[in-house]
Order: sequence, then structure tokens, then C-alpha cells
Amino acid sequence: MAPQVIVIGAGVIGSACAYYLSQAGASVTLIDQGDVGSGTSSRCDGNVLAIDKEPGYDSLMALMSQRLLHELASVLPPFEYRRPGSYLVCDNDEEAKAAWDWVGQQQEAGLPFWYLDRAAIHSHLPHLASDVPAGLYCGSDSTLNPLLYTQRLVQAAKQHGCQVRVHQAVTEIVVNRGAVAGVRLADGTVLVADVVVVAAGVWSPRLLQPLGVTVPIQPRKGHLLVSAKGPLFGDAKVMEFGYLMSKFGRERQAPEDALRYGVALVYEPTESHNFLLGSSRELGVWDTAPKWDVVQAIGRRALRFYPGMQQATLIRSYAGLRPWTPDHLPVVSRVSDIAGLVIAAGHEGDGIGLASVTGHLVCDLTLERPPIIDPRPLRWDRPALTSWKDGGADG
Amino acid sequence: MDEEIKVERSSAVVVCRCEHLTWDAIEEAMAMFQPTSLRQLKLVTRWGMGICQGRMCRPIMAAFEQREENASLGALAVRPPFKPVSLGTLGRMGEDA
Ligand SMILES: Cc1cc2nc3c(=O)[nH]c(=O)nc-3n(C[C@H](O)[C@H](O)[C@H](O)COP(=O)(O)OP(=O)(O)OC[C@H]3O[C@@H](n4cnc5c(N)ncnc54)[C@H](O)[C@@H]3O)c2cc1C
Ligand code: FES
Repeated sequence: MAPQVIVIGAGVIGSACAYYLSQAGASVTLIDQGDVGSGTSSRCDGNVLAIDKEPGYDSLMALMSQRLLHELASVLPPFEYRRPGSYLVCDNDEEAKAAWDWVGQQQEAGLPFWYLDRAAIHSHLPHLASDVPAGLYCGSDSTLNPLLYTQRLVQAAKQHGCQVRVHQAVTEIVVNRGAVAGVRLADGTVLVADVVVVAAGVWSPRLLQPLGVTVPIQPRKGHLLVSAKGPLFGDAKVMEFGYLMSKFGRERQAPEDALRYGVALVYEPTESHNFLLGSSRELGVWDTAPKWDVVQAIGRRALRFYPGMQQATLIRSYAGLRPWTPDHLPVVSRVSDIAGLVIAAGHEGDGIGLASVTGHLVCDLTLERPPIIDPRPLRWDRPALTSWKDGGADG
Repeated sequence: MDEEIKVERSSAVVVCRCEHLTWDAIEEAMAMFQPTSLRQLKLVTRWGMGICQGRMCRPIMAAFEQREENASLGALAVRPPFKPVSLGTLGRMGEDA
């Protein structure tokens, strides 16, 4: 008999889980305390990236997700999915050298990466500041409209029989004799289920803690700025290489305000002919109100790479909470002590990109099918998470 | 801005100039996404998300909000005004402070 599954959280992750599960024949109810996509999934960019992933498990998972997304784009109604590739640009010669090594590693792993020297990067990206020494390009990277994508997944899940309950908060996951029994809603109603998938983004620990399941997911706030419609500064996404420098254990050189708020350039042209600028990274901040200092730091960083943006008009800014984990991998896992409990959360800055592979894997784990990727590195009780002590994070 | 506007439901009426939206497009989005709040409708249609920041389209939106059949969508929270600013000006602000 088809299992009864409740998915908590209709962000991009929970929606992808609901989609794959209902398509596979499970009887699914998707619940959100707000609207579909009202959490982090409507306060973010829509980049689907392999360019910034460590060669190995990280990049394979990203590529698998890109493959699944490409399939979804051909079966779901449109969600502004495009594949323009993406660029990383270097601020200085030290970064150029690190970028050279990075591309080498990625090419060895068989990924579609190219190093672009000074002449090449400026011919690809003519708007770039003339002193940018180098960059790199990843051909498989794509982009989409995250909220539309989330809604399309939910629409399609509904067509496969998924029930959607919005504006209903889950207050408790009900467990009986070591197995999930259902969930309790804010109005006291209990919904029964064989399986409960916790896909509540940064809010997931609150649901899991009372069950004795500790997952060190924390908010990592990020700001974005929105431009008015106007001339674009190129059609492809451009990010700065600098934020990868920590992966090389090297210090990043950037202005003080950029370092303080973890600001690194992200330039994303949208299909509505405006562009987004990002972004910042602040760990442990719950407040989603945009902060002026951070907005300014992002603006200044954009001007460093795009001096021609002086005249560009900004009309809005917003901020969202990335669900951070200590080792930057999400948790997509069953919990062995509590039958029927599945966690799908902690995707930090990659939830949009990793939603498809996550949804597929949750479906595999729930229906006990062969997993689409090795699920072990994503277990909730992996050492990097269980050994993590609050305060040990560097942001 | 306070005067009451009567907006005829006519497909050709432009409800947001910046985003080139007509009533038709709004009706279509209502049918397709069945949004449960105005914020959601706004996010899918981009209604009111252009440079006017609601200064031009807000009255029409208000008329839409007040329709009986839209009562369940609630009222739209007005975002704190972010006056359009050029990036150059933004970057220089506070520099001489
Ligand atoms: C500035 C910024 C830029 C980003 N850019 C990108 C990008 O370019 N590419 C990319 O891949 N990722 C990006 N991300 C990351 C991405 O947005 C997140 O990883 C993703 O949205 C997380 O999705 P989620 O479904 O886990 O969480 P959410 O979207 O937050 O969904 C969780 C849902 O659970 C609901 N919920 C919580 N508690 C309960 C409860 N008790 N009962 C019922 N419902 C509940 C919430 O209402 C919410 O809707 C960015 C993030 C930020 C902040
Ligand atoms: S008319 Fe464009 S945002 Fe209102």
C-alpha cells in the first residue's frame, strides 16, 4: 500500500520532495505555516551552480541535480530556466593563481570548466573593470526563477494527488513507540502519517529538538539588491572568486566592509530585464530586515567589478536566511531510532540548485529504492555534525 | 492617491506599467496559481515590483484588494520605502561622514 507521507515546509526542498514522492505513488500532504515558498526560497537568487563545488562528492551531487533539473524543465510548465553558464572573476593575482589550480582540479574530475586569462575574460565580459586579471567559466551552470520553480513543483505534485495545506503550522511531530505517527497542527488537529519529512529550512531544528534529534542548522543571512529595468551588464551570471578562497585555506583580500559582512559579488541578470546584486553572509542572524551598511557594502563591491554600474538604479533590497551546516552539505537522511522520520534541510546557499537531487533522494529513501546518489555523506549523524560545538564556526 | 478609483475589469487595462501587466494577466495568474495572499500574487506576476514601487499601481491594487472575491487574500503589507537610488550615489553615501 502507498505510504502516507507528510512533508513539513513548502520551500523549494519540501516542494521537490512532494513532487517526486507523489509522482512515485505515495500519498502526500505538504504543509506550510505560510504560503508556498514564503521562507528562504523566495528571498534568494536562482543560480544552479557546479562552478563553486569541491571536486568529488559535492560536484557530483550538483551535476546530478543539474541533470534532474534539466529533465524537470522539459516536463513542468516554464520557470524561466536557462543555461547561460557562469563566470567567476578574480580580484587580484593571488586569486588568479588559485583559480588556475581550481580549474585544473575540476578538469581532472571531468567537469566542463575553462580558465580565462586577462584577454579572454575581458572579451567574454566587456563590462568588467579593466584591472581584473583572470576568471573562469563553467558551461553547465543554469539559472531559474526560484519561486516560480517551487510553485511549479507544487502544482505538478497536486496533479499527482498531493494535498497542500498552507497557513498551518506544525507544532509537533508525534512519535509513538519509536515510530512516527503523524503531526500536530497549531489548532490541535493531528494528521496521521507513516512518514514525516522535515523540510523546514532554518526552522527544522525546532521541530527535531523535542525528539532528541539535534541538527546544527543555523541561519546565515544573505542580502540581495534589485535594479530597475534598464541596460544589463551581460547575460551570464558573474560571481567573484574571492569567496572560494577560504576553501584553499588562503586569506581573501577585500575591503573591510566586504569582509565584515561576507560580501562577495554576485551579478544575476533576470528574465524580466533587471538584475540582482549580491550577496552577503552573516551567520547566526535571524532578522530578515535588510541592513543599510550591508546594502552599501554590496553596492560598493559591485562597482569594484562593474564601474559602469554607477548610473544603474536600485529599487529594492531583501534578505533571506540560508540554512547553514558546519560542513556545508545538507542533511538528507532517515533517523534510524525513529522509524518514518526523514530530514531534508540545511542546503545553505544551494537549496535551489540541489532541490531536484534532494527530492529524488528523499523519495528513494522513503520508498526504499536504490538511492540516486550515495546518501552516506548526507546523514544527520555524520561526525562533522555530531562533533560540532556551537561557537566553533567562523561564519 | 486617496481618491477612490473605480477600475473596470477590462482585459486591456494596464494595472502595472513598469511590468507591462494587464487585468488579463492578473486574472490568468489568479486562475493558474490560486494564490492565497496578495504577496504571493505579487511575487508571481511582479505586480508592483517595478521602479514605481507601488506609487503608480498601488491605487489599482487597492481596488483589487477591496473586491469581495479577493477578501481571503488579505491586505498587502507595504514595504518600507526604498527610494530608487543610483549605485554610484549608494556607494558614496556616508563617505564624508
Ligand atoms: C541571498 C540568498 C541568495 C541565495 N542564492 C541561491 C542561489 O543562487 N542558488 C541556490 O541554489 N540557492 C540560493 N540560496 C539558498 C536557497 O535560497 C536555500 O538553500 C533554499 O531556499 C532553502 O530551501 P528550503 O525549502 O530548505 O527552506 P525554505 O524555503 O525556508 O522553506 C522552509 C519552509 O518551511 C516552513 N516551515 C518552517 N517551520 C514550519 C512549521 N513548524 N510548520 C509548517 N511549516 C514550517 C516555512 O514557512 C518555509 O516555507 C540563496 C539564499 C539567500 C538567502
Ligand atoms: S506600475 Fe510598475 S510597479 Fe507599479
